[in-house]
This record gives sequence, structure tokens and C-alpha cells, in this order.
Amino acid sequence: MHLVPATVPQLTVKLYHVAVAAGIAVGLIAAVDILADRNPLNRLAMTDAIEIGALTLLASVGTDLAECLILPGLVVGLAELMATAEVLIARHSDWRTLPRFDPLDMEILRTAPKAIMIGLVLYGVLLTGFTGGAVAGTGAAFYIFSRVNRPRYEEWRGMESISGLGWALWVLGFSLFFLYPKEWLLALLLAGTGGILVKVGPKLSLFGYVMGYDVRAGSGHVPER
Amino acid sequence: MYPSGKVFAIVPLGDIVPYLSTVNAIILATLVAVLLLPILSKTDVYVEVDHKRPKIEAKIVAPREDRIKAALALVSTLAAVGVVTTGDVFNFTLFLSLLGMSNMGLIGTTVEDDFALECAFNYGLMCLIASLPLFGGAALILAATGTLSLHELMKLPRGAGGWTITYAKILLTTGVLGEAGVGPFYAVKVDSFRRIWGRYAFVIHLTTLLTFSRYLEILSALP
Repeated sequence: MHLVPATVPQLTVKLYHVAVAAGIAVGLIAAVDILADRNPLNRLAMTDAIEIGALTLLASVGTDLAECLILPGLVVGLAELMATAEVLIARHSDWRTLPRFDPLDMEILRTAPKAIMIGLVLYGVLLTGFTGGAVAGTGAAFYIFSRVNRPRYEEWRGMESISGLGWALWVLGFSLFFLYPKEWLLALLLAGTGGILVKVGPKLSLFGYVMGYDVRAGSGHVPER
Repeated sequence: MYPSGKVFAIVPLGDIVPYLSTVNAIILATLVAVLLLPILSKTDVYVEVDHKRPKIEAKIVAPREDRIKAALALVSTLAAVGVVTTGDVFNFTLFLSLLGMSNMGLIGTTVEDDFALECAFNYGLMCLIASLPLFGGAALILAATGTLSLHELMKLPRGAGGWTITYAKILLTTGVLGEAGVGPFYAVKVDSFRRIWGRYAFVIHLTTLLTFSRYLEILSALP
């Protein structure tokens, strides 16, 4: 069977075997490390390395379909890793003995994030779409992470409704593509700029929303704002 | 042509075409029956027996734990339904990962039990490690035949993929064993049948078992 088109150079075809061998080798090396060090945290980290080997095997196929398969593979791997890490946290963590740190009080932490956030959000608006939303959201999240006095929970309450509005805009723009294909520019602006940007941006900045909470109710540990 | 007998129904869902054949329908009926078992049964008194000195403790199970377990059992069964009906090898692996994760949750959500958490952690690590041969096998099938659809793979002549398909079969079997096959062992290890959530232990056992019988059908469909 000849599945590879003639335009693909022979070197790339030959590299497939190397890539498969590399993926298996990554898995084996990580497995040997698990055998060598039985510390639970090390085992968790090394299984993540094995996951990277699985992604290598997927990526080595190098077609459009393989590209589509990497994303669900990555998501499933991340979900499994998070679930396993949650079990590890529940097993070993003790909220009373966790070390506490005072927040660093430096002037640069108060002034620089604002400028970086404005720059990143403006750049994200220029980029539009998923990438722009990710860049803008990263800016907002960076602003929240580096602030000494974090915004209170009540101040971030509006973010949910903004995210909902963004989603509505995205649906509107998407259906406009099908109903009136001639208005494609308006649909693109609605779905790309108004929709996904506004949707992804607030979603990443919702980190700040979560940080004010203590998820484990009744543990008596409330983080400082 | 289909190794599982007559095909009853096909869901033409774009690229991925789930189908229902004789064997699949039997497996599906068993799965739904297994899901009905914990829903219909209502046992909420947990009897704990201490053998060192004569003492019998009866305690009511926390309703929160029971609700979490019910939700996870539902997710597990739905994932098994996806595994059974799917017509795509990669979809099969993804649903299998979901199945392993929810079974891990079923074991790990036992309240105030460090040993159950330890077992769930080990099972989670096993699932993560098994995802390398699982996804790797699917990727090798894609590389050898150019398709992942079972309907297309059945039409290929025997030995179409060469050594790659043989290797992919070995990897896929290892992955299925690691992802679903070890589930019952960990469920037995935490003594799940004698616990209050014993009825959800049935879900772990039967979903993994039926998943494996579905995998045998996929294995016979590969060239």
C-alpha cells in the first residue's frame, strides 16, 4: 500500500520510524525512572512524561487527521493527570501544616503589570479570534497574579455576564455565516472579535475569581486577599 | 463482513459512524441493566464489624458521597456505551480513557479512607501509563492504513498493513489491558463489594469486562 503522496520527500518518510522509536524510548525511559524513584510526586511527573511519548507517536503520523487527534489526546491526558493529582493532593495534603508566605511588596509589582496588561490586551484585540483571546486573557491573568492586593470576589462578578454576552455574539456570528453568507465580514467581526475574544479573554481572567475562594469548605483556611 | 453479526442501525454522524450490531446490542442491553441496578437498589446503612472485640457499628452513608458515586457511575456507563457503539478506533481509545478516569474516581471518592486514595492514585498512574500504548496503537493503525474508521478497516484485505498493524495490535491490547483491564483488580483491592458502595463496584467490573469484549470485536475487524 502506498499511502504517502509522491510530493513528500523520502527523508520525511524515513523519519517516521525514528519518531516512533523516539516516542517509545521516551515512554521506556520514564518507566525506568518510575521504577528507580518510588516517590509519589516523581511517579506522577514521570507518567506525564509518558503521556508526551504518546503524543509523539500521534504527531509522528503528520497528517491533518493526526493533527486533529492530538488535541483530544492532549485533553484526555491532561484530565487524567489532573484527576490523579487531585487524588494525590487529597491523600497527602494537610492544610494546617502547609507553609505560608507573605506576599512580596515591591513597587514594580504594582506598576509594571498594568502596562503589560494594557499592551497584551491591545495586541490581543489586534490578533482577534482564539489567539487574540488567549493573549488578552494572559494579560489580564498576569495582572491579577502579580497584584499585591487582589481584587475582591465582588469586583469580578460582572465577568460572567460579559462571557455570556460574548458567547451570544459568537452564536449570532456563526449562524450569520450560514443564513446570510454575503454578510461574511460582519459575521467574522461578530464571531472573531466580539465573540471568541470576549469569550476567551474573560475565561482566562476568571482565574482571579477562583483565587479568592477556598474550595475545601470547612477547612478553616481562607487565603489572604 | 461485520464480525459482530448483522448491523441493525447506523448513525451517520459525519466521519465517525457509530453502529449497532447483534453483539453490540447485547452488550448495550447488559450495560443499561447494570446501570439500573444501583439506581433501583437503595441501601444506605453501612454495617461495620470489628473482629477484635465484639462490636458492631452501623452508620448511615453520607449522601454526598453517594451522589458523587452515582454521578461517576453514570459517566462510566455512558463512556462504556460510547466504547460499545463507536465506529472509530480513536474514539474507542478516547472513550476508554474516560471510562478509566471515572472508574478511578469511583474508587477514589471513598470518604475517610487513605488506602482507597492510594489505590485510586495507582490506578490513575496505570491509566496514564496505558495511554501511551493506547494512543500509540491508534496512531500506528492510522499510519499503516490511512484510516481509523472501522467500516473502512473491515473492507481492507488481510495483511494489508504489514508488520505495523501487528505491532499496533500488540500496543492496543496492552493499552486496553492497562486502561480498563486492571480496574477490577483495584476495585477488589479496596474491598469494594463489602462496602456501602458495593453496587457501584458492579459498574466497575461490568463496564471493564464488556469493554474488553467489545475490544475483541475491534481486534477481529482490523486487517
